[in-house]
Amino acid sequence: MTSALPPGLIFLAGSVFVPLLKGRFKSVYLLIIPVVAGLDLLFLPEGSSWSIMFLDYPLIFCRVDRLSLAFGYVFVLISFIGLVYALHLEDDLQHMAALCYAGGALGVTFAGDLFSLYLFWEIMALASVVLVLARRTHDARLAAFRYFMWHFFGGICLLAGIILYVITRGTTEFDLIGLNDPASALIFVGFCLNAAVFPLHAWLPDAYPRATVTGAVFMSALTTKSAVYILARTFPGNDILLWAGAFMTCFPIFYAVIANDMRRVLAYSLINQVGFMVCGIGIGSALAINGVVAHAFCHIIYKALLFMSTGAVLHMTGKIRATDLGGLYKTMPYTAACCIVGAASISAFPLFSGFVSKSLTVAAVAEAHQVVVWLMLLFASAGVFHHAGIKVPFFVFFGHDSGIRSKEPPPNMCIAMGMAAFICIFLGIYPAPLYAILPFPVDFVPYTAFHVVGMLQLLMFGALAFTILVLSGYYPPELRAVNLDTDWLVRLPGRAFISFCHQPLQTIRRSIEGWVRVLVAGFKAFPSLSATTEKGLDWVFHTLLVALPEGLLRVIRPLKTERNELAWNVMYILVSFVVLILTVLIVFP
Amino acid sequence: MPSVLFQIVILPLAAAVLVMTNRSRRESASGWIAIAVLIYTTVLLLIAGWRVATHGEILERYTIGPDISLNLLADGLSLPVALVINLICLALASYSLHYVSHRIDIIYPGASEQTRRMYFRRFFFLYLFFPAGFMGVAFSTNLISIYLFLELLTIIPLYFIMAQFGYSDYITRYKVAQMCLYWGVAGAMLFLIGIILGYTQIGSFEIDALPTLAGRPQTFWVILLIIIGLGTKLAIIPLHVWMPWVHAEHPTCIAGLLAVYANIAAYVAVRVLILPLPGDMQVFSLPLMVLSMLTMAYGAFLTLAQTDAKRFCACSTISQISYSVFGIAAMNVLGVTGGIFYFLSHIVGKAILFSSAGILVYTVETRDLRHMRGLWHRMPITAVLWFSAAMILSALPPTSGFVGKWLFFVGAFQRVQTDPIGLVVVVAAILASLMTLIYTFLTGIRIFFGRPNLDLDTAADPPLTMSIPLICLALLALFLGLFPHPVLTLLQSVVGTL
Repeated sequence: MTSALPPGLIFLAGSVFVPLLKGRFKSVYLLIIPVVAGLDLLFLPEGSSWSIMFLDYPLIFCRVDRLSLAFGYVFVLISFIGLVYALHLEDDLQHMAALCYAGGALGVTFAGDLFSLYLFWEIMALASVVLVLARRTHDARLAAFRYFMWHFFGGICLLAGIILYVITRGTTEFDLIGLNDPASALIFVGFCLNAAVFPLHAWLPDAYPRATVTGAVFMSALTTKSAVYILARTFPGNDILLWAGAFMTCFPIFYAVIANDMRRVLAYSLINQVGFMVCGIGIGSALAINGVVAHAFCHIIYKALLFMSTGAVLHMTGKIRATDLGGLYKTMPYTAACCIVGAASISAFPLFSGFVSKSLTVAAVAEAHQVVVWLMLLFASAGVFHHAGIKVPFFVFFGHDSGIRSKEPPPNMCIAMGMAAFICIFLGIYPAPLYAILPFPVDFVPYTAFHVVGMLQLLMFGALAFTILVLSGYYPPELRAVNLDTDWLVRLPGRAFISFCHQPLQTIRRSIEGWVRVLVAGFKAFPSLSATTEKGLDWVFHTLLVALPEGLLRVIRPLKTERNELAWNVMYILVSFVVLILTVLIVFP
Repeated sequence: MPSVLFQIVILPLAAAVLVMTNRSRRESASGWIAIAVLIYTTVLLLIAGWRVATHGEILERYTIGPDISLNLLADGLSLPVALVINLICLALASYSLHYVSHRIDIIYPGASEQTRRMYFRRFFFLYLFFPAGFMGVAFSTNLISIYLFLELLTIIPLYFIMAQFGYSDYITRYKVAQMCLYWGVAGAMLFLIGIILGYTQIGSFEIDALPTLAGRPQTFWVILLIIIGLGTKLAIIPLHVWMPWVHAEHPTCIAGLLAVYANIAAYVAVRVLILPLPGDMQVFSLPLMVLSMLTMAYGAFLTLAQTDAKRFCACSTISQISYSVFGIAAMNVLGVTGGIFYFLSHIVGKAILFSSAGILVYTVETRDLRHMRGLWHRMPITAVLWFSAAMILSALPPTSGFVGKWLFFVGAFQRVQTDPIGLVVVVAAILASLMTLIYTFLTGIRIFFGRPNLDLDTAADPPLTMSIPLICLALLALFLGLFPHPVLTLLQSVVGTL
């Protein structure tokens, strides 16, 4: 059929054999899978292939163009880094789930029709649920359940949309869909949920902080970015996305500032960063889509780096709340350095990867003359620096001294962080390889005086705000608190629904059950009742009727029918005859 | 071939004489004679069936007197009925070979070889009157010969076989046989009064002449008498009380034929009432539906209450016969076709169910269902037979029962479309028919599954001459369920005039 396999299938098939291997062989095997997939990607021919007929519709597993290839590269890359980061784990479940998860994301990336897209979409959702569950705490189980509910709501919307789409357009193949009918609206909701577009984002800050240390790395990279890819492919230039994206860049900043759990801060900053991409998709121009892809690429790397470094802290100290941490730079300088690299990248410091990608998006917005959106994005850029760029490293590694003196994380974690940090800096200094894989030709130079100075100004003002707030004591105190975000929208009706089920519905059920019990009791009495009736009927026919002649005989016997009573007999016959005649005359006149 | 139908009716009687006079040393020789003649008549029936299907009906006239003649008619209605009944007779004759020997051992212990041969000859002599009577009823074209064949069935085989080979002690089985005789004669007598009343109006016993009876004031009474007479045979409540006694008393090898004996009255009703007098029958439609619906439910409940393996089957016959009565009471093409088809399916299923109950009684040596447990591992073939009969009787696809039940319920719905009371009756009947599922499968599960009974260690599957004919019957039901079309076409070639 073709020379190359679909890379998603390599991951999915590879995951099956993980439990069969032990020790070093397993480590090597785990790393071989993304390497093979990466080599496979290099030889993947452009265009659609691997199409298999299912019922009357083709399933296309391999639709390759520049857009899907760019996402394919970064997904394989981050899977490799994530697997290196997770190598020390003995937990086969997590490895398998991570591989399936990456396989699902790659499958989504290269799916050429809606059915296989849906298939991989759900594989991704299921595998990521397992990654949350694998933390094996009560809290994680609850979060996994909520995550599951959110994603299956999205999955059902998507499935309903797909079915409508197939019915109305008669094909499962898709490219540019555009928001114009109920089918596309349902599909749009399904995609937006995975992209954490407001107000469908509450699952993200809920589940990510509760996932396993290594699982969070994969989750930060795959779910939202595959949704960004699919939105960029199907709904570019959508105004709703433009404004939703702009809003998404701003509101998480406030939540992130008050959050205490460091991975929760990162989850909010993840929404904020996805906001830039969604905004870019909303613009939809070639420059904007380039920006989206570039930003997704860089973002996956540096966000994973941030999750890895905070995860390393969690792994070594068992603590992740800002209130419990501080002063760790003394014993974990390497982790602190990696974290700072990640923070600098996400804040888009010049010479770090975030700078070269974010400026593309912001420039595209400016080019489209969306002044309000542009201002919102600028505000958000400053905010990013404020909450993610300074808050995370500051509270974890500096700030007040918590007295914790833990060692550096295991070597595989350090190597993984080092790789990610290297890519961040490398792309920041030399963006040409990144620009080379973008879907549209790039003639953009990030390092102009305008961009650099503007960005630095924003960053300085962000830093200034942070400093002033901290020094003046206005900075929100480090509280142990849980912020439910838009989960309220779901939880309140949910609670009402459950109490409705408990109270009125249960009452109805009980009364129905009571009636059914009465009915069943009556029904069960029927067989014995009919057996009794049968006995009675038997008696009527076989005793009463049979006894009738004898009874008649008993009546007739006193009538003295012997020979010497002849006169009586004649009298009796005469009377009977007269009565008979009279009866006949009266009855039949 | 000349006189095919006459051969089919008379040859079993001729063979009966042969059975009585044979002096073979082997006791089973009588049985093999019966089987041979039944195979021959089955072949004749198949030939006749081919002719009916391709050339239309066969009519043979044998004039006896001025008003009475033995005319035999094979058309699309009588032929499938005769064929299926003959197949059941054949299967049960083979089943009887072993069973009668077992009965003789129990009733007449210590009999000499010669006595045993005598009883064998006697049983198969009487047995051959069944096919003769059934074929006669099926092919007769006038009312008097139908009456004669019904009486022949009641008096000769039914009475004598029960009296001599029955289950209880000597006194009781003669008593029960007599009771059966009285009920049978009473029913036939009402039937006779009805047809004589009809004769006074039109001066003919021929079924062909019956349409001239339509619309007269006396017709109502004629029909009422005939219906009550047939209803006694059909065991419609409250005329059903003989059924459990008689079925419980009969040797199991002919209990299947008893179901035929009772249910063939449904065929007679179609032949002599519904087809010639459709207009005058309309008044009886709803009452018959109501009565048969009540009988369905009542019989099913009665079945659930039974603990005796043979009474169990008897009560289920009460319920099952009413299914076909319900179908023909709808009096439209689908209802009558479905009713007759269900009649065929029921007698096949009931022959299997009765005979597997007989096998259970034969091997477990008790009639109490409560003592049978966990027999699956010891008697797998019997279990399969029981459950296939349960499927046929519960009308589950792909068996023939499903086709019949489907058709007659569709017919019943067509009938009562505008009648709210009728709709309630039909829905109630459908609900009542669910009971069959419950009692057949529930009892089967109790008998064959669960912890085995320790004192039933000797239980084992019966010899092949008993099980193979029953398996063939089950396959017949399956065949009729999968390919009902030829039979339905034949039935509708006659019923289609409704």
